[in-house]
Amino acid sequence: MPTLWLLASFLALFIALPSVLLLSWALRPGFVETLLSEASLQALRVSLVTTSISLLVIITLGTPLAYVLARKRNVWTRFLGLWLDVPLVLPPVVAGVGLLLALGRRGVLGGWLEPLSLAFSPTAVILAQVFVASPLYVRSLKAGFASVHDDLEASATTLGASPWQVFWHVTLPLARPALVEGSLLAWARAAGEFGATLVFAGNLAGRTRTLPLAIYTTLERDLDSALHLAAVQTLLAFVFLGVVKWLSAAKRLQKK
Amino acid sequence: MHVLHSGLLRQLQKQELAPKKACQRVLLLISLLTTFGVAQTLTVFAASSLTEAFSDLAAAFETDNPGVTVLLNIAGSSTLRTQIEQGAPADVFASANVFHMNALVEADLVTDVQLFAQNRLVVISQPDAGLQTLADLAREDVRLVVAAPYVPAGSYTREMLERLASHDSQALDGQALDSQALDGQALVDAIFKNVVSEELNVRQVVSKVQLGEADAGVVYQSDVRVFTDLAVIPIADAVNVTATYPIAVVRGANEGVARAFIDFVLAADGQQVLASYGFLPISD
Repeated sequence: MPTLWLLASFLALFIALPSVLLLSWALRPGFVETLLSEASLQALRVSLVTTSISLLVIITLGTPLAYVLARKRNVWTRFLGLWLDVPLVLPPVVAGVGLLLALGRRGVLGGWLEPLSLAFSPTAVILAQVFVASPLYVRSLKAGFASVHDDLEASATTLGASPWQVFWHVTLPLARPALVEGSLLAWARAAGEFGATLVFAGNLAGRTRTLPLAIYTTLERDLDSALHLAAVQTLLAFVFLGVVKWLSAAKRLQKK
Repeated sequence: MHVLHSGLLRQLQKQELAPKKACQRVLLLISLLTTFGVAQTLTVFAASSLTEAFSDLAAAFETDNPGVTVLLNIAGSSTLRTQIEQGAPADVFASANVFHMNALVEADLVTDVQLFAQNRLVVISQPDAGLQTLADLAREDVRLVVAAPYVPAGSYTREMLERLASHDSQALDGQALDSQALDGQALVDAIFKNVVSEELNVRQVVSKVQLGEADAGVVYQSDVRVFTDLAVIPIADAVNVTATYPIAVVRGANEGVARAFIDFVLAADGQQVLASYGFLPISD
């Protein structure tokens, strides 16, 4: 038994150690100064604004998509579901290049989008975040919808509810835990988005430089400040995941 | 090595050498192999703008020195400096400016610094962007990409724009400013306003312009030798700046090979390679 514990601890330590060390930088002198510096407040603001809008877009457009994928189960939706998961495992740089091919100024849709002047705009940051983060939301909510029994919806219908009423008052409330979990995961992923943003949206303070890009840029000249910012990012990740864990624990308690 | 080894074995069998003598031969063989550096690797950290020139130099050096493998790590000089500060195993560091090299000298992480090349800035643009002069960069609809301030290309760009700000139209050989143009400072302010992204190495500036995402970017003249599909707007000598490239041995390096590589870069053949990519020799 002690051998098992020893073996198990190797990978656990390996994974836990870096984030523990990163978090420890929040306790080092200079952390508050870095946090309150113009550059980091700017980056935090850009991150907060873009990820919030991204989340709104993801919920608005991801919910109907998740519903369709959960309810219309056939070869095509399964195939589509697979296709939609690709951004989850795509290297971020590849995601950025893919977005350029689609939405860049020379991209397939670039001509039509030119009036919006997407290139190097905060909108481009949001598009990059939606691209990489929405699969997490759709996956989670699809499972949530699938776990809502058809007969519940059927009985609501026989009681005279319209399809919209069934969705709003029966299906969606029952899938709410999945919706919340999916939203938090998607938000966390959007907040950590880096490569696609760098390639697709550029890197300019106050406009497209999110917290991860600020860390990368600061790393070039000031390791300590970069590590302070990295501690902030790690802290945010812990908070997001902590809330997700806490919610699912609360859900389990409710069921009992 | 394998051939040598089996040859030696055969000789041992044939002549039935005394064990002591055989032992001596093997030892001799081992010491020979180590002296001539079988399977030595030389890790060279080089600035992004040196990508092609140093690939060629590395290949030529490997040909001249059988058994030596050159590993190139290419990134922005500021990134490379951070990596060396964090203990990355480099043997040679070639930087695109003196600033990052000096920082490593002060930290006693490199030694024997020598200058090996110079470079100048140019503006690249999409041929259909309709940009002709430096002053056109101030046009309202231009998306300009530059390197970040800490990246050598970025600090040279800012230096160049500062010089532009303090110049009037005459000093620019009439090429940049026409009679209706803004005064230097207003022009440069307008150019800065058009900066849409700060990249962390000069080649990312090139790629943003190549992709057509940006209209123009400030890069080195050597970059233009490699990427010939872009329009080039020259920068007048009066405002242009000279980029100076230092090279040094990293402390704890494989010193002999590192020095040999630096000598190779500084020798006529190495300088020829650099010149073919648009780098300028060090002028005294």
